[in-house]
Amino acid sequence: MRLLETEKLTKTFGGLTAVSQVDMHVDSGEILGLIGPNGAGKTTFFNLISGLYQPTAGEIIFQNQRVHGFKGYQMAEAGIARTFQNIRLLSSLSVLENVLLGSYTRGKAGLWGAILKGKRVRDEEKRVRQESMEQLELVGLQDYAHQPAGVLSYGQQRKLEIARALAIYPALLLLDEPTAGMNAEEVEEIMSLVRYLKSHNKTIVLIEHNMHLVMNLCERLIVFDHGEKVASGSPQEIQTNPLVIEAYLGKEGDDE
Amino acid sequence: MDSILNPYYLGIVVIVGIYVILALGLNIVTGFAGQVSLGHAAFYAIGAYTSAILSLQGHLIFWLALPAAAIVTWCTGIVLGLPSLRVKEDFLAIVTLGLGLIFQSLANNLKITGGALGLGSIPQPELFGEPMSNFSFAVMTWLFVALAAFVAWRALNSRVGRAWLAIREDELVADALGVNTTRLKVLAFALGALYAGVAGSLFAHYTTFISADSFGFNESATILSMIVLGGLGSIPGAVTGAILLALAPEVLRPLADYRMLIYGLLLVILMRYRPQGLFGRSKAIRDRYAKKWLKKGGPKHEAAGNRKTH
Repeated sequence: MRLLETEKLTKTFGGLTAVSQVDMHVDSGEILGLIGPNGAGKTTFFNLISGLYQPTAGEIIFQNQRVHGFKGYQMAEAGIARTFQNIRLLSSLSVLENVLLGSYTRGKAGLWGAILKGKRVRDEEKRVRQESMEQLELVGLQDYAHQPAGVLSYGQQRKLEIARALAIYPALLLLDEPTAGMNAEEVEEIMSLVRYLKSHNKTIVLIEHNMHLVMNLCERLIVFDHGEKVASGSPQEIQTNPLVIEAYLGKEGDDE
Repeated sequence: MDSILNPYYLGIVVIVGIYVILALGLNIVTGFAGQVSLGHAAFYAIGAYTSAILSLQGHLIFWLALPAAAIVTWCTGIVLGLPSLRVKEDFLAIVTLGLGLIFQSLANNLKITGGALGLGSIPQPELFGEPMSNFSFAVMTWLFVALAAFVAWRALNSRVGRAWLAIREDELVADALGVNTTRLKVLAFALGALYAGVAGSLFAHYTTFISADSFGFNESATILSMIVLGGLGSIPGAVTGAILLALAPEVLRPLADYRMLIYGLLLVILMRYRPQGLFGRSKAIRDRYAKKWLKKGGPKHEAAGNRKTH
């Protein structure tokens, strides 16, 4: 089943075209990798499908619904969650509070409800706290729940971002370089986490430079270069695709 | 006992209480949601004038005029918040500064607000058919203070409060996590305005005379200083900051001409040596505590993902 589809998705900043006419789709339950050189437009593409940027042209269809012009919070409500390449935790809040924020879309309590704090609000608060702890257990950070997020190690902060995104209970999870700056052991942990999520029917799109991870984890790859989709296919097909080799290594006889 | 019931002291107790309510309100806007407002006195003015006009011309009793003032300021907060909160940080500070000036100048020139003469003979509240004594007014003011602090605390420790903190810390992340940031910012603004409305109504019916002079930029800046001094985002901080800054001019009164000089100097010294405010725990301090905890053994067991439990 198609979960997400883009048609001729384009984003320009002034004269610069960061994403150009990208047609792609994501099927439910798959792990899709986005690869390509730095500056190829992968993160901009993520920002478009998570609603943080508005497309210049083209369409985004999520769960058979046109989500064109949706803002970030509307995409989150629709079920798209993401992590950030440059970790963006709220470092003065506790680890648990960061995950609780992820559960925002699954709560209903408004201002007056929170002030009166009736049974419904109390029950909801109890439920989201419990569920947030479950997300922390999933990434192995339950013992750090009440520490400020800022004291976690780099690898732990990346895991916390994933837990926070999972607290949305997203239909689609976008991971922007989930293993950047991690050591080999931590990369293995992330890989096992992604496999676990897949076994629980999560759909994941990830941007990654670690080829070991990409080739072993992703079922399908899309290659970006200069804002365009230059190739797509299974990891094996991509490895032998001349266009991809060109994007990464340059053309034969190219001076650069 | 007589000295405590002295109208001069009771007057200070009431005014300090009013400032605490104002500070608690601005703390929601600036401390929780991170939206700097330099025009908080505008809502203070709207609350005071609404309450005064309703009692003078509408012959509404205080107990109805006060909630009416609260509703009017809440609605004004929404109406003014929607356009102003589209801009951020320094720009927002300037927009709110402008709003404050507009309302002061309106109060100074409109017929309904009594122009530069202000409004006098605002009726004092009655309790059980008797005019309220200064003492009961002071008690009532501090009951409102307690309610205001309680409401702020409940709001902070909730889904809404967490969304405010997220906006304060990183608005883009808040957006990506599903927080309608415009709506939540306007909500904080409206609640802060409501607090100012209650404070304004109390002020109008206590002093029985109001004029535009009481609601100028100085007032907005003082309220902002109170919450910065106490520690942005901290409820005990807002209360303490407001008490200290509202009392300081009275305590320093014997210094006569040097009063405001010393007052200013104290502010400068405090901000130099405790920039996070009296009750603000700086990130550095918190991180140090956490690092100590990690050294002492940290988590009970180093878990590499506890997925078997699911």
